[in-house]
Amino acid sequence: MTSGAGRNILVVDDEHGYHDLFRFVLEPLGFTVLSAYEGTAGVARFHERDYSAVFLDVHMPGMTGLEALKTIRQAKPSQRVIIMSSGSDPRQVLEKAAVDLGAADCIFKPFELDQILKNVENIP
Amino acid sequence: MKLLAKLLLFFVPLTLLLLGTALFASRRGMHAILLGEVRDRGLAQISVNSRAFSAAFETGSEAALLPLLQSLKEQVRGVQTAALDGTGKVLAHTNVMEKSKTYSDALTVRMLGEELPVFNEIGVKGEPVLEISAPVWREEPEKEDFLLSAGNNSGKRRLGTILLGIPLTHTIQLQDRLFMRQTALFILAVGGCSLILVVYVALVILRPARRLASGIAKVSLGEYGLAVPAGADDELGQLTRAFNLMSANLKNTTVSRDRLIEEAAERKRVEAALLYSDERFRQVSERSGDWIWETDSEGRYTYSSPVAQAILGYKPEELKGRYFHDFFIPTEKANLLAECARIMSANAIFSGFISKRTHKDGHEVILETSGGPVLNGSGALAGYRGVNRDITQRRKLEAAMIQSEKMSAIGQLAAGVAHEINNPLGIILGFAQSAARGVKEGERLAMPLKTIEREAIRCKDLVQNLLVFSRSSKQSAPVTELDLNTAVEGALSMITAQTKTCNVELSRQLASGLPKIFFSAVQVQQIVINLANNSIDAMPKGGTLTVGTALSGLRPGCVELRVRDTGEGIPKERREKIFEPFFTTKEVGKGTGLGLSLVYEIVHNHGGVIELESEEGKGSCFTILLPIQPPPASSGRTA
Repeated sequence: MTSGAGRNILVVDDEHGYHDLFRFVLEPLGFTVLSAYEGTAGVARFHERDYSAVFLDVHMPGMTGLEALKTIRQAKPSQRVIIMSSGSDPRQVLEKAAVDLGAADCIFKPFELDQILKNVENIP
Repeated sequence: MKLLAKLLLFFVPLTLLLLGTALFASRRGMHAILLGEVRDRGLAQISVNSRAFSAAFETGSEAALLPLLQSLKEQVRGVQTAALDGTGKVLAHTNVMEKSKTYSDALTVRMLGEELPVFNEIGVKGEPVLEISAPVWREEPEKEDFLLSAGNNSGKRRLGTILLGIPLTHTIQLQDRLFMRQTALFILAVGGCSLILVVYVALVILRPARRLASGIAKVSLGEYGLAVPAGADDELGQLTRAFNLMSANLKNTTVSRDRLIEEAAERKRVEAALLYSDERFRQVSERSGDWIWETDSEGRYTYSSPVAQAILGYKPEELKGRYFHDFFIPTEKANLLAECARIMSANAIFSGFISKRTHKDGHEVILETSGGPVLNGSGALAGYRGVNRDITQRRKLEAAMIQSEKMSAIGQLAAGVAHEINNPLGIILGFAQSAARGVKEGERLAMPLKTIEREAIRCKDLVQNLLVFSRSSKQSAPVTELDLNTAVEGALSMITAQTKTCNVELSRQLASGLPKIFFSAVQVQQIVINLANNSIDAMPKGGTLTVGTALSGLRPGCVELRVRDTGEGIPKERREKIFEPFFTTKEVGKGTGLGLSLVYEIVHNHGGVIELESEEGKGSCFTILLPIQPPPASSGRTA
C-alpha cells in the first residue's frame, strides 16, 4: 500500500470535482492534497511548499496548464508534474509538448483510478 | 464576208460587163459612123465623075478611063481605082500590075451583080482599105441622079463597075483615139458613179445596219431597253424600229425576270439559312448532354435527341409515340402526374421540374425538365418541346456533400460535447472506481458502484469514438506510409477472440506484394474493427467473415479492402442510411451508431470509396477502395 504520509500533492484544475476526487483517493493514503483553481493561483500555491507531484489541468481560464508547467519547471526543474486533459490527443501533440516542457506524464480525462495512483506511487 | 465586200463583188463585175458592153457598142457605132463618112466621100466623088465615067465606059478604052481613075484616086486619096466591065475584066487600073486581069472571085461577082454600090473592107498590102464598087450606068438626059433612081433601073444599061479603094488607116487611128477618150470618160463616169454608190450604200444601208448590229450586241449583253436611231422609213428603218420595240419589250419582261432571279436567289438564301439552322439544331441536339424532346399535345414523344439513349436507355425511335409519364417511377407517378397537370394547365414555359424515371435496365434516373408549349400557326396547342437533364449524378453528389457537411457538423458538435462530458465523466469514473474498491464483495453498494463504473467506462468509449470521429472529419489522423496487410492483421488480432465466442469463422484473403499506402494504421484498424464488428453482429447464428485485400482491378491506382459476411444482409431502404451517424439497428446499449459513419469519414477523407453489395439473407460485402497516392487534401503528415 502506497504511503503518502508527509507528502504533498498539488491539484490545479478549474473543475472542483477533481479536487474532491483527489482528496477522496489520496488522503486515505496519507497524502496532503492542496488545491488551486486556476493557473496563476496554482503557481502561487506551488511556491508555498514542496510537492511530491503537481497535477495540472490543461484547459483553464487565465494561465493554461502548459504555461503553468513551464513556470513551475523553470522555478524547480526537478518538480514532478502531471498534465491532465479533458480532450483526447491521437496525434500526441499535447503529450509531446508536455513532455518537452518536462511533464512526467500526460493523462486524459476520464482517466481511471490507477492512472492517478501510478503517478503518486513510488515517488521519493 | 462583209456586206460591203459582197456588194462590191456583185457590182464590180456588173459594172465591168456594162462598161464593156457600152464600150463595145460605142466602138461599133463609131466605126460605122467613120466608115460611113469615108464611103460617102468616095461615093460622092464617084457620083461627081459619073458622067465622065459613063462617057469613058462608052468608049471602053483604057486611055479614056485611066485618067479618070487617076483623078478619082487623087481626089479621095485612094489606094487604087479600077474599072471593070460586066464580066469582071479589068478595063483600067491605077495599078499597072492589075491591068487586063479578070476578077472572078465571089466578092467581085457579088459586086458585079449588085445594082447598088457595095462596100467592103479589105486588106491591101497589110493596110485596111474600104473598097467601094459603084456601077456606072449609061447616062440618060432626063435622069439626073442615077444614084437616087438606082433601085429602078429597068430602063438603064449597066456600062461597067468602078472599084475604088480608100485607105482606112487614118480613119482607124482616129477611131482608136476617139475610142480611147471615150473609154477614159466612161471609166471616169462609171468609177464616179460606183464611188457614189458605195458611199451611198455605206451611208444609207451599212451604217444603220452596223448601228443595229451593235445595238443587238448590247441588248444581248443585257442592255435591255436600248433604242437605236431608226433613220429613214425604209426596210432598215422598220427593222430598227421593230428592234427598238423588241428591246423595250425585253426590258419590260426582263425586269420581271430580274425579280424572278432575285426571288430565286432569295429563296436559295432562305433555304441555305434553313439548312444551316437545321444543321445547327442537329449538332446542338447531338452534342448537348441533355435530352432534347418534343411531344404532341397529349404528351407522346414525337422527337428525342440521341442522348435519350444514354440517359434512359431507350433509342429515340423506341420513345416515339410513348407517353413521357410512362417512365415515371411507379411510387411517385401519382404525385408527378398531378404536378404535370398543374404545369400543363399553366400553358407557359416551365423549368426545374424534377422527376424520377425508370431506366430501360430498371435503375432510377433523376431528370430535371425545362420546356414549354408549342403552338401551331393558329395559336392552338400543338405539343410541348423541351430539355431533360440527367441530374442523377448531381443529386448523388449533392447528397454526398450534404452527408459530408452533416458529418462535419456532427463532428464539431461531438468534439465540443465530448470535451464537456469528459470532465464530469472523469469525476464519476474516478469516484465510482475508488468507491467500488472501498466496498467489499457482497456488500449492498458493491453492485451499484460496479455498475456505475462499468457504465461510465461505456460512456468513456462512446465519447472516445465521437472524438475519433470528429478528428477524422478534421483529417488530423497521423498518416504514415503503411503496409495495408500489416495494419489489417493488427486489427484482426483484436477481433479474433470475438469471432471465436460468436461461432464465426475468420477467413483471410490478403494479397501479397501490395503497394504501400499513405494512411493511419489506427484508422485502418478502426475501419476493419468497425466493419468486422458489424459483420459479426449480422451473423448471430455464426457464419464466415472474410477479410481480404487486393490491388483493385476496377480502379487502377487503388487497393481494395474487402469485408464480407454471410449474415442477414442489409435491406435496400437502409443502405443509404447506414453511413449516417447515430443510425443503428442494434438494440439499445449495444451500438453507438457511429461505427460505419466513422468508416465513411475516414475513407472519404482519404479520397477513397466504399462500395456495398448486399443480399438479404445471404450476406453483405463492403469493399473499400483506397488510393495508393495520397489525395492532396490529406497532406497533414508532418503536423
